[in-house]
Amino acid sequence: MKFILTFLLLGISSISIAQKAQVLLLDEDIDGTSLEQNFNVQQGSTAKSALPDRDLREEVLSAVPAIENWDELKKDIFFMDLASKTIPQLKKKYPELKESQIKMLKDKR
Amino acid sequence: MRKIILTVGCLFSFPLMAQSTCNKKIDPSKVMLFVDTNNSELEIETSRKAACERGEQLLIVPKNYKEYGKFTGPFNEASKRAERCSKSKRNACTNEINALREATKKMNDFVDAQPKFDKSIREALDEIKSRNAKLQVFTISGHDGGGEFGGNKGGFGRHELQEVMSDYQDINETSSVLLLGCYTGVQKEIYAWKNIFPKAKIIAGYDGSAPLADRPQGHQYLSDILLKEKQLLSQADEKKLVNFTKSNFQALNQLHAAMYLNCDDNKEFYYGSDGSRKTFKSFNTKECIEKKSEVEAIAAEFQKYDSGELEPPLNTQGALRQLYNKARRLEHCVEQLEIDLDVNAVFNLLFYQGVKENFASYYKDDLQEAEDIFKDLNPASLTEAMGLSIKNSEAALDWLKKDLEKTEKNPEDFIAEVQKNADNSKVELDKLLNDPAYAHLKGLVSTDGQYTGPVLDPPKEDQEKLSKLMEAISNHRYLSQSAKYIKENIETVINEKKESVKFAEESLVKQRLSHQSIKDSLAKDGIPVWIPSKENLSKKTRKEMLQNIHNMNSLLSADALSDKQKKVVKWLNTVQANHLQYFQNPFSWHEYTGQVEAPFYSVRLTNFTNPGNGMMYGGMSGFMTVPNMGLQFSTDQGGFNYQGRGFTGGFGGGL
Repeated sequence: MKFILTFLLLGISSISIAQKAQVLLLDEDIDGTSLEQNFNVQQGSTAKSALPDRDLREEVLSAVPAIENWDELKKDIFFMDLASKTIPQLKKKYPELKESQIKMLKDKR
Repeated sequence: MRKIILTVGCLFSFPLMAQSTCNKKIDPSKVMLFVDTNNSELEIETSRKAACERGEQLLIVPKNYKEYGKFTGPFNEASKRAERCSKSKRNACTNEINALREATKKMNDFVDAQPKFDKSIREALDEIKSRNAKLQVFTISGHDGGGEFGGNKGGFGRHELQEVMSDYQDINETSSVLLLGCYTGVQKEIYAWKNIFPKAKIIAGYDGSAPLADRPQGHQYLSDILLKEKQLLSQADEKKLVNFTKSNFQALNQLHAAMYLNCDDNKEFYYGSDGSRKTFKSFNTKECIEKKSEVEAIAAEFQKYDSGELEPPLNTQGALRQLYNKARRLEHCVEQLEIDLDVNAVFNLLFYQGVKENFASYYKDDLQEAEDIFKDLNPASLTEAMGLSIKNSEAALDWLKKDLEKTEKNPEDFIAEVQKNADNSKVELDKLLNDPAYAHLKGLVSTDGQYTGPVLDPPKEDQEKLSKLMEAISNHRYLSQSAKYIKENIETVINEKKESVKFAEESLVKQRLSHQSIKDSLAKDGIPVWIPSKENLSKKTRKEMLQNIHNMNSLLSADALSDKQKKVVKWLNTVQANHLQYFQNPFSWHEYTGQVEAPFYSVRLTNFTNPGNGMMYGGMSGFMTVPNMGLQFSTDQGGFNYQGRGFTGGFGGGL
């Protein structure tokens, strides 16, 4: 409200302070043409999280009890690694896990 | 007298309406309430059938909902005719336009004459109370935006309903709440509605756009919930819920349906989009409230890294990792509590080095091209333009100070001045309204200056007049409302003016700093801002990077950049915002392996379209999100704080 009112009062003033805020359009379907009159319009994208679905991650990783004690970060990275790395690479990066466990999780993933 | 007639009318009309086609025995102590803000007759019919099956009474608000059809029907028909006519382009469509104008007026007059929703709902609740009955089901239908429902019949929001329901707690046994509008089933809405209906076992709505009121899938969804409520609530876990709904709630997969369930044994579940896989998930409405202060503390700590107050560490084993672990564990509470914390951003800041390297590598050629374009800059003209920009800001500040001084000294004069402006605008408006040349256009503009005519281009000869009329109406409305507000709130207005002065002073300080920084950069490197190349990003702190973005925005206000250079600055702003502020990056960007995965939203300099015409406008960079609108306003430096991530102020440029 305060913010709006400030502009309202400035709007009444006889000089206008010609500054434009930037607007980043996150939705590709929005046509920004009409906004360009009042804002510096930039095209962005709908905010997307690159993090894996936590519930799905928990479901998959629950098959190996040793992983339960890992922290959130290690679980996230391991879960993503399961999809992007080969078994030898995973074996090297996660020596605490048996090859059979890695293979099983990779299949489950 | 009218009130008495209404009450008596209610006593008989509600039950009669609900039972008119029902052969089942109705329990008079159980009532379902349907609030229709739009054309929801088919949904009402579905509810009526379900009420019969449930053996409950159905009350509808507005009770004369069918009467609305007498006006909305002709309006819709007239709209269609006018549209068809415009497409055929056979004539000026005068008859169609006149018919539509008349239908619009009749509809608006009728709606304006009806009682407001809060009054009608109170009447219905009084009726329930007087019969010692209890409210079992609450349904509301209409277009929704953040809990505010609206449509042809007017508008009504959950804030008003909360106030109403607080007076009827003794009859509020509502177990099912159906919110038939867009985005009504997102988690934060569930929380808000749960506060209004604390005994709710089902809160069902949509986590995206809702189906139109005449779509059969929407009716099926409504019917399934009302008729299979008990079976649904007896499902004890996620798997059983999935299996049950697969065969019993087919509309669930066809629509953007979302729902909260408080199943038997008090087990809570949520089905809806929460940024991850959409399925039934355990949900605890109390947990997040208990964790609110913890999540707020995480958000505050994260803000320090995000703003550059604390430099994101090279080591991923320290405090920021702990912060990530906590944030990730409580991620499900962030949306429910409406706390501005982006766990994906915490992850990216934890791996900030990798993110920067991937960013710089992916855009390597573009960044090189940007640097080359900047080399052509004329430092002398830029310095001159920046000086002018500062002078303009100083002049604006001076004006604001004088204006404040004048208002403080004699507020009555200020009030009289704005009133005079409002009066003048009325004279101007009346001139147009009394001008015979404008007579046929009056009905096409609403009282707030919006065009309400048919969905077609008005005749060419009228376009200029229409625009003049719309401007005069909206100008008068704005000035008269301002005058009224100022008269009634002069103390607040003076305080706001003080804040405006303070804000302008702070902005000017930042503008000077920014311009000094640009000058330093010019003197040192020959370019006004540094390009976020791999080398530069590795040397600079996050705070320096954010300042550099601010400087880029300030540059846009200096009228010394060529179109090519402006395009570069805007492109740099866009890609830095996407990847280094908003972190719309692939997961793999957390480590740099030499092979860079393409981001979801790649903006190359060569393909970048130059939005706007590069007027002398100052920049703001940083962020303020507007949920459900797909808009993100941005700013970066000082001034004022907003709840949104880093909407921390400041105009970077000139006048």
